[in-house]
Amino acid sequence: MVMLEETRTESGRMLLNMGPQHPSTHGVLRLMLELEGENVTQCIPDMGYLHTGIEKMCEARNYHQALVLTDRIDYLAPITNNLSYIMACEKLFDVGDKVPERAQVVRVMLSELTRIASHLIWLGTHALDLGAMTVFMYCWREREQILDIMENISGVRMMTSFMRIGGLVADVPDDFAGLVAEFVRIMPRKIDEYETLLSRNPIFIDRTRGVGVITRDGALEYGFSGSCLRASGVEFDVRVNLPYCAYETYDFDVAWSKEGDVYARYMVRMREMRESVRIIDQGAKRLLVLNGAPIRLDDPRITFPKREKIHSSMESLIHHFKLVSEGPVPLPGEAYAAVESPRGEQATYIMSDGSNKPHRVRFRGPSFYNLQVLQHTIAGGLVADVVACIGSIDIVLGEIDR
Amino acid sequence: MVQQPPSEGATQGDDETPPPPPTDIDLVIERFPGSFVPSWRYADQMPTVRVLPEHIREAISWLRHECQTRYDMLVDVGGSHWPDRDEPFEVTYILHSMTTNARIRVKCAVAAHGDELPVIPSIALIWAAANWPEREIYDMFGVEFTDHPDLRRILTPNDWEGHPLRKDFPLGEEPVEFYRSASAGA
Repeated sequence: MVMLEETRTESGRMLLNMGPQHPSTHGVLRLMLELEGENVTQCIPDMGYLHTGIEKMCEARNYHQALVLTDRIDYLAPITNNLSYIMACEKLFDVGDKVPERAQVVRVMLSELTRIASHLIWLGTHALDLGAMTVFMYCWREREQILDIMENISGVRMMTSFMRIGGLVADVPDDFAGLVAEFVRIMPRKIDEYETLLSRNPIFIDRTRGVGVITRDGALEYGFSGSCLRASGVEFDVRVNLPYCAYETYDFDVAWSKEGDVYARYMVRMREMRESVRIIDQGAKRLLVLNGAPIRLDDPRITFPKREKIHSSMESLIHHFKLVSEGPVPLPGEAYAAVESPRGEQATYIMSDGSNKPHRVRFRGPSFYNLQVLQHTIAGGLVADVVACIGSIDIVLGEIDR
Repeated sequence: MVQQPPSEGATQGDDETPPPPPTDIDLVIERFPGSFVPSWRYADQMPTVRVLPEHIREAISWLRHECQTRYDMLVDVGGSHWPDRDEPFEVTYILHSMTTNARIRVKCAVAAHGDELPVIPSIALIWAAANWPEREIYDMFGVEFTDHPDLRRILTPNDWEGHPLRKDFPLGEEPVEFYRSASAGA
């Protein structure tokens, strides 16, 4: 972290700190701006204010315990973090293709619900940054509905930790289907509502069209992923290109656009929300058929014995105790697993040395790569466009600093 | 845990079926002397090759621009520390090809001499996406990237001492029972 000693450069340009407490930097991002009047001549991002050492902490925990830390990486999309971590573990334990179908369907549905919840926060704050206050309130209203679903299944609104190696922690409750059906019913009309407020709003268009343009080559040069990459004309989605959790069997379109500006990223995410609703709807139908099917793999190396068995059988009690205290032990090796989080390719890379704790866990946060381009996009633009650019990249500092 | 060069490729001369076309791994091994596939369990089935540090820049550049499978996206650059190995500091690059959806993992490992930081050539000048990840590895593992445009700490403060993700960096927690060491076997 660098301190600004001076307020002006020798040539008379103003040096300005934006953040880390600035609300438009979406967390604790600090930007050091060099300004000439209203124009940004240089921008140096500075992060690390939220560095919590999650990767180091994972090395001191067993494979089950490290799961709860993953919720806190990208705190707006805990489910997708869980999923990439769990998928890496499953590959490491060689059970990646043995996860029960019902668990896969619930995973997909929850991932998509999280995607919508995260996109709603993005949309609300992004519009707020650009002066549209109402959208923020509307978005929070629907997000609340998703959080209610999360609370209904796991008892927690945000940090659900609902996934387990080999499946889920528990089956979804009976009223889950009803809540999801209600959400699927209302959501498309709500998205229309947001679009009426923004998509043809002249103020919004003036602030976003042609601002913060990132070309296709630039996006690939800077390691973009997710909606930002798709808005720059690259049709890449982990769900389609490297399918996981049987995403290839769902019918949905990948939203993409050629323009690469802030407005294109807005449109891509709006379309993505509609596609997510479609996927949730398909998942709900599959879930009905799979009623009563197992939600967790039965593998004594990894999964806990059933609760009734623990109460009645000494061996199961010992087994449970061993899995809780020592944890599952994989063979030495490494595994990389990627999912499409709301922000892009969220991946977990686990290296095991054959002990009960991971030797190294790396989290590939999409925001970390997406943010790299910011300093090049906003240099030469206006101060007011800085907030538009940050908002459109949709960063989560928890993921950047880890 | 010990990495060994691979055994000689099992190619039979008088086989009727034509040999399969060389994979990108084979081509990398052919082009860059000293490269090999470390014997290690890759549970994700991603093709992996290790190249010498002096070749890493050409190898990445070749995979991106000249190789038939154009690996045009740099997915990740990550570090790891293996104190028991001869070359304890390992940097892993994961590349993705948009046209074929193939992925390749390139590794590079170096040793530290005395108190000096281990050194690996930076690829940030040929691929801007590697800029911040390399800074992070410098910050967390103390690996120095030569010719990096802006090699500063990124997540910890500038006056921070040590490199937190090295194995000899204390965690600041009470040790927990039931730790099964790697030597005890799985």
